[in-house]
Amino acid sequence: MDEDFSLHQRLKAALHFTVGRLCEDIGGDGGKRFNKEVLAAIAETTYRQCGLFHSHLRHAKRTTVNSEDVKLVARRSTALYNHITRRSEELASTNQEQKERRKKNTGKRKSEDEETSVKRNKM
Amino acid sequence: RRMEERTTEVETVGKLLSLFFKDEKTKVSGDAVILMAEMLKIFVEEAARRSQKQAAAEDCDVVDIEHFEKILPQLVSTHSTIPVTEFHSRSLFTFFIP
Repeated sequence: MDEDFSLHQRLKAALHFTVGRLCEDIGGDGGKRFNKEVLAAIAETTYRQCGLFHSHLRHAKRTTVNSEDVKLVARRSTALYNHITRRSEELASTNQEQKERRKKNTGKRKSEDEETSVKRNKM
Repeated sequence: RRMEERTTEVETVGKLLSLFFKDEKTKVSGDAVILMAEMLKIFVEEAARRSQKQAAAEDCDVVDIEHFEKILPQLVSTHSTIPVTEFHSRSLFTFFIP
């Protein structure tokens, strides 16, 4: 219980820090300064939003949440949905590339192994 | 350095999500975590941009809690189903931080 509480607090602190950094970036662009209260409020709202996303993602005895589920959460706003879909396609394509590269590497290793074994057999 | 920060962000979001999922036996895929991080980042940026715009409309140099209060109902209603009335309290800060 106590451990759980401190973990929550630490995650909130991390969120607060990240919000501060993002706001600094945005404030720098627009020449505005963000009040500390605003940062705290944004962090807290984001934390609640995360809880909401979680309740959206949890449905019907699913055991794994994948990118399709996240897209479903984003569906409320068309612009957001399009953006998330694009991102997920990018991710999928990079994953595919990595997989293929790995396959090639293992394939090479296999053929090398075969070669050495053939050599050994010849010897 | 930028890249490192990004990975920590993703890790944090992953931990956040898995913390919420802890009580159930649900796993979250790597792609889903990255996408969730993106969503939350967009949410924060949107909150910051809108409150900044509100401050600019009122000719203020500092973005104050009142500006954020004004944009909050719109922000959460486009993203989710939080009832708007929940955020109508004037002293939002005291509402969030006990």
